[in-house]
Amino acid sequence: MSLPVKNLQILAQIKHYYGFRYLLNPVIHNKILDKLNLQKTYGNFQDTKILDLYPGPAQHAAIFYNRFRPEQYTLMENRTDFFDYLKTEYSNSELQLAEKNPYEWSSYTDLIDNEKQFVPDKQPLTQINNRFLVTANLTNASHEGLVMQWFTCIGNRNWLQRFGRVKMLVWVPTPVAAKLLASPGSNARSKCSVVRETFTETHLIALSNTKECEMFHETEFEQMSPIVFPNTDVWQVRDKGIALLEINPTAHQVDLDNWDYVTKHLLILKKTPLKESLDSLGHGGKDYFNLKITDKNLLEKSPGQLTSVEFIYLSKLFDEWPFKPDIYMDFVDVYQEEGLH
Amino acid sequence: MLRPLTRHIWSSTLIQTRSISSKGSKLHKPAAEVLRSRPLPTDSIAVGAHHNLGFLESSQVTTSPSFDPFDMSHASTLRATTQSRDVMQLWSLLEACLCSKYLNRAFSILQSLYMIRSHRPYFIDDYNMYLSSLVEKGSIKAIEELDSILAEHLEKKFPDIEYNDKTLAIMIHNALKFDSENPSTIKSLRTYLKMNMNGVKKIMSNLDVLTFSDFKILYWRLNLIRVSDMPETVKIIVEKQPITTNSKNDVEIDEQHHKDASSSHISNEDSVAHDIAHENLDNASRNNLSTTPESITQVSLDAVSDSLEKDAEKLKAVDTLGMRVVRHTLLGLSLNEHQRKQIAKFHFDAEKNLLNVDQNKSIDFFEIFRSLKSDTERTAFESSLDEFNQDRQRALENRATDAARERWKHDFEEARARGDLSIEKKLNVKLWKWYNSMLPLVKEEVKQCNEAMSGTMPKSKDLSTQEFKQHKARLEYGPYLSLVDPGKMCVITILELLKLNSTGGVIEGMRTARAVIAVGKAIEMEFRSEQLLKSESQVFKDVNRKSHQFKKYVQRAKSSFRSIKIEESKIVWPQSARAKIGSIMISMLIHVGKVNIEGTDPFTKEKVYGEAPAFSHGYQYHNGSKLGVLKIHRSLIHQLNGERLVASVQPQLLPMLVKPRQWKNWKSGGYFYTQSTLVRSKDSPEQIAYLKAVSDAKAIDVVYDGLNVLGETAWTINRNIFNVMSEVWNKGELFLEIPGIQEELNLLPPPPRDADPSIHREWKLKNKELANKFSSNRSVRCDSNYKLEIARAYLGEKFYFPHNLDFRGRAYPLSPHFNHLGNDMSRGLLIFWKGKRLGPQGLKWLKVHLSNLFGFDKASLTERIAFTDRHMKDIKECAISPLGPNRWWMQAEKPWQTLATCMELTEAYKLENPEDFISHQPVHQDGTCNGLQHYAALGGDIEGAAQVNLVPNDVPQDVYSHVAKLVASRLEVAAKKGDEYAKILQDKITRKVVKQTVMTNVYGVTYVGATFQIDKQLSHIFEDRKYSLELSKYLTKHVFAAVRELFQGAHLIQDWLGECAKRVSKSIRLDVDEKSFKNGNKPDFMSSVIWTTPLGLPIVQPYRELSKKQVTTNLQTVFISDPFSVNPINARRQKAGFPPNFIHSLDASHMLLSATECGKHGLDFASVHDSYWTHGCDVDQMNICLREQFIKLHEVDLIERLKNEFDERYKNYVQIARIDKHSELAKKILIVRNKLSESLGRPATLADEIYMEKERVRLMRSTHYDEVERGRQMVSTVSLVEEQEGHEELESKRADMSTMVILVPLKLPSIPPKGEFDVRELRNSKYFFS
Repeated sequence: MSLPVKNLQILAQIKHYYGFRYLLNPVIHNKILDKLNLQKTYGNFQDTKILDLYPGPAQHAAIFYNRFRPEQYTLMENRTDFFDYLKTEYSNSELQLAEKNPYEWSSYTDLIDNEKQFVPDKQPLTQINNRFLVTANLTNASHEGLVMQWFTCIGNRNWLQRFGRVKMLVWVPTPVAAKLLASPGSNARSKCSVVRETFTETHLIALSNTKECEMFHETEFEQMSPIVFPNTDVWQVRDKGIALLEINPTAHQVDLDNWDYVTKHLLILKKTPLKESLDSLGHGGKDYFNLKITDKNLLEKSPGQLTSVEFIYLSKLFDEWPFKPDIYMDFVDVYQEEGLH
Repeated sequence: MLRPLTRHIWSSTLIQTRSISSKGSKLHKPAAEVLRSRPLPTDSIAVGAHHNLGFLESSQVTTSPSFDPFDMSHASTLRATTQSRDVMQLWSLLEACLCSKYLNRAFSILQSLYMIRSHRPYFIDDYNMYLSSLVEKGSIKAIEELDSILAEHLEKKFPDIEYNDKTLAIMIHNALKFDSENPSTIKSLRTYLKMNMNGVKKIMSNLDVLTFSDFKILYWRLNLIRVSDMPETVKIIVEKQPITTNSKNDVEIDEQHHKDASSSHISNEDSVAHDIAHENLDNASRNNLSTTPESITQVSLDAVSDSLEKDAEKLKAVDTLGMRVVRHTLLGLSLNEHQRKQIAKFHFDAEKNLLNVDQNKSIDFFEIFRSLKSDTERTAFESSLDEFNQDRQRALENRATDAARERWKHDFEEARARGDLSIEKKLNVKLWKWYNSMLPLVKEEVKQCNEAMSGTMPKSKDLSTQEFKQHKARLEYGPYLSLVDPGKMCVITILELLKLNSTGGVIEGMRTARAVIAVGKAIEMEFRSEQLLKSESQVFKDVNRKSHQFKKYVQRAKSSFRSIKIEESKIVWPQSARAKIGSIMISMLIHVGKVNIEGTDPFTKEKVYGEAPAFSHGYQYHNGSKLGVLKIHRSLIHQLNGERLVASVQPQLLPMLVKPRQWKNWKSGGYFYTQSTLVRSKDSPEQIAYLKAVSDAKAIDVVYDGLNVLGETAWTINRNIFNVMSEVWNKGELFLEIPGIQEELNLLPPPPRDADPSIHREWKLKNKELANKFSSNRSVRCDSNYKLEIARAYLGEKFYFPHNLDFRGRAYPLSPHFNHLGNDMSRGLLIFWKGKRLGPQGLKWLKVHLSNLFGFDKASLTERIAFTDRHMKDIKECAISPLGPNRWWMQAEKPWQTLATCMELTEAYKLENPEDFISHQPVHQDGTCNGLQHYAALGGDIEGAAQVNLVPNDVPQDVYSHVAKLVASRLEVAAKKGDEYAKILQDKITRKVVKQTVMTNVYGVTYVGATFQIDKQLSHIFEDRKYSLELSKYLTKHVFAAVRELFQGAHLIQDWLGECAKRVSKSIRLDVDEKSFKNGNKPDFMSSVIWTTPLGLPIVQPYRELSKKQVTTNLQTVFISDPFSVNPINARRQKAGFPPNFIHSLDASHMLLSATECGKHGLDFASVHDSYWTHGCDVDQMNICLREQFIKLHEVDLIERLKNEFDERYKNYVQIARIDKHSELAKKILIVRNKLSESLGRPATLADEIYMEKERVRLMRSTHYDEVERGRQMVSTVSLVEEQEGHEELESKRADMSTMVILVPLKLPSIPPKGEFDVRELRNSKYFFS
């Protein structure tokens, strides 16, 4: 039996959207699913489990379920207004409802390990996990940090990524998508886009039509050819847009501790050429690296221009540095602010 | 020649005064009338006199100040402050250019200054600076030359400017450089003297221009001035020194004299013998000290037996003659053989004996002083010591950097001579190397700057962009970089960076912004004190030190000269200049400072060695923003923790060896060569303006009196305690509050990468905790090290703590690291220099003191004495062997001070009659929750007053226990009603649970804050954190209610204070410049809460929005707070801060009054806010003083007086309110608004309404009948509100569409009723302070 798909008019009656925004147009949703071509990975979905985080009004979930009928489809949602709506609407349906906060790490261990309500299949790193898909909505600007943490988890292979290379479909605010997809040399290049580049293959699938579209690199944007839909299809209406990313984790083999330290410290001085900024890796860094780096062109580059491969190379050199600093002693102690009398 | 004499009256350009008159003010009525407004106790007339403690006069000065108030609209304040910032920037640049002799550039800066109209009245001072430099440079070849320069400048360049008496002094000083016998010179001199503006005496008062030789020639040779024309201090010296032939001869004689001294071949041993042989003679001389100084001179001149090193250059700086006299006097005392030998051997060269760095070569002055038998001897000893210390103090303040440098060099050379293998390991050796490699770089940079400054601008095409930029930057910072000797700047930079280790929350480093400013500021300070020293020796260079007695006159003259100079100084370097200089110096240090390091090769696993920069500059993210940091290399950090620091790190602002300069005005007092201000202001020009106003009006003398008493208490180090601490310290183990040495921080190993994110988070948090603990231990240990090293340096010395105030008027010692306000360790190390016989009362109080320190302080005095008596065995055992098996003292609440007292008591009991013991131990008397004491007195709470011991009682009351009881009974009631939480908590309410909350309640702790305090206690009982917090929330409500119940009146006052602050911070001046509102409907709130303490100190709450300026330096761009900015106030902090700040301003007043009173009775007095210290035998007297002063303070209804002052200060202010849109009043206002809009042709704004009301007030105040009538007829939106009775009730808290914003006259709520408690009862309360 097909699940009912409610339209925008009805869904707009849910009182609070908690600063999140959702695409509420079934036509576009279907277009997106066409473009994603998920069958290529998951076949007929009969063994596939879907975990949907922050589903909100869950229009997309109903459409998805009706179209693919996966083995299990679980909505993780605990915001009262959404939860109450979902409960009345879907509690007797095929969609499962987990009243948990996707923000808490314990929600996942509880759901999977303790309660065993949702147990995905663990697969080797040779391929994208073809029995487990994660979808999520993180369109509240204040959740940008969580997007980044999830990406870190992809690198670490923990959290949901401990089940292998798990594909994720994540809605984010358009500027966040632009930031993540920034390529070397672009103004928006930062640690998060390096993380994205190093650990995933990420594609821009769709986004609403706002001025923010200009934040993407023009030719790259054309290459990705995302579905652009009217911003009026998004509820609640703001002048800011949202975008959908398809994230495919790669089988990386990066020495994460050193890599983490090196990228973080170099990218603080995004625009200073390496030959100048290498001291930020530790006392005497400039001398050491200038000696070790044979490709002098690399020294002329600034951290914002470096590719993922180059960062990995620098991390390797860093690891071989006899006088490298203690990478774990690396934080500012906020509690020691001395007060004035 | 010069323009004819015109006497321009500057008052026409005087700064505008407040346009709104203060007629009808209660404050302006005679004091008695003000007092009559509320009935006071019958004998109030008698005490009425004290209301002139300062409050009245000061309050009058600040309610109608002569300066632009700071609560004009933001835009106009901004304009005013921009102007003063510009002037300051130009000034400092002018000063810098003059000092580095870039006269052309200086002149163009003068021209810029002249362009600033508001600055014209003060311009002549700047011009004089220039003129004086012109003269000093020595390029003026004839008297006429300067005449024509001056004429040209004043007539053509600066036509609006008049010369003043200082200009004339400069002209005279210049003329005297030429042949004074020449008639034309004399003619010029006569002309100048005739040109005086305010009499010859005024010209002669310019001590910073005229030298002694000038005075001598004018007086003795030319007879151009009379004795009475000369300033007091100069008179004595000049009169006593007639010119013989040529003043230059004096100098020569002096120098010859030094050479004699240095070439003396008498060996040390000989000199000892020689000195001892002279003993009798010296004795005689000592007795004659006060009567015939000449005889002393004779004696000491005979005894040319100093063992000075042959360093002629240094000799000049040392007054050997005076020191010989000191030595002879000391030897003349009845000393034992050992002491005599020590003194004979001691090197009385002030610069060589800055402090006791080397124990073997120092003298324990305290020991000698103590061993003296008679008062006469003690007096003679002290006067000699003081004299010696005058010179040492001067050296201490001026030569700290040289001393550090010499120390490095010494260690380096020593290590090299020994062929020390560990040569690289010594910190000082390293510093010496850095210094040496840094110096040429700095010299080169200074040279480059000089070239840039003096050369013409190179064509930009000849330079690369980089070079061009560099050149431009040099023009900016160049003048400042050439002021201080490059070597000194290097030392300062190194020392500052080491000092900033682990500050600003950066582990093993510091924030760049702080570092660059600190270095810049330190260089500026060095420049200032050097300048002072230079001009001092310039003025006094021709003074021959004829005799010992004469030297005293010179000393007095010098100290008054210094005061004048320091008071004059008004220039501070702009932050950007500091930052730039600082960053130049730091980047050079980064470049040269290297450390040797050790690492492991990742492949071969072998040890490898190398070199790395000691400092590195980088960035860290902090709360999402980029933070520039300077990191210190770990290997150096280890070293900083391990070594004795005092030799390497410059101890700035140390305790003084002589009495501090007395406070005489807001910026004169404290150290000799360093300027401190009376109040520590945090970059608030507003605070300074108010302070300056009352200081100029001489309205805060009572404040100075109190501070001076605090400064004059002489201290010394408790050597016995020092020895124990030293022993403990060297073991490096954890001991009491000193953490043990911890070489390395051992962090937890990271969890596997694929562990759950929550495990990673946990790991990070735990490591952060470990690191925080580690670094806080390290900084505590470092701080203790500092304290101990300073104490070591002061062993056997007599020293003083100069004090100043925080903005609420609380007193603090200026020396930051080591003082009696410090922790138990610092306090344990300090004793009074002066000893007093215990006597029966002293012995009793000493015992009470011990009991208090131990923590047994809630019992009656008799029981406390009994406690001490009971523990006599413990006390003796601890005193004899503190680190032996019986360590009873370590269980005490304040262990070090307890131990010190144990030793004191033990010593006393060694005497047959312990009452005969001469005690040096300070005995404390502490207030019972002092904030609540003041509140209880203000509110007249009878029960509250009893609980904080304002009421006589047989046993001391404990307010915390009492509140605990009240809370418990509340819970009991609640439990009976079935309250679950109450049942659980019922039996768990102890004193400890409520203590912190009761204490901080007075200081405005919030409900959330209090909940955490209580949770801290409850979490010991309840393991579940969430549950414990739940209970705490619940309990906090009860504690608050209980305190409220007990201090009913006090709480009403607290609320009232908060409400007043809230309204003031939402108010607007009526005479505000309404055109400069950024947005007519959103006025800036600029009024801070300002009040006057009973002693007349104006308190200005500095809480305003922050503004930072961006400064580009060669290290990075830094954001620095702008000391000139006046921004809209921060209403939340103004409100939250006011009640506690007001109470602090009262406890501060009480302390200063008590200090003054104790001083009058000859007591040694010290205070730690609400803990007052004196000798045991004087405690009774002190207790009387402090009770009387408390009564005196509170006999006036301070709250009523505050209300009156507020009413006056904020008269005619309006505030914003909201009322119901549909009320009658709202309708009326709308009509007026519409009319106003119509007449303006646009929608009227609140600013327009303010203007309208201002006009109305002006008309009403007019002297013309017509205008007054027109004013009466006028209806403004504010007048409508005024007419409406009870408009307060219409005010709505809602801020939605149903209400509208209106202007209402600022009206403060009426003061809450006062309870019946009569503060005079306090007179007999034993436990008020005990």
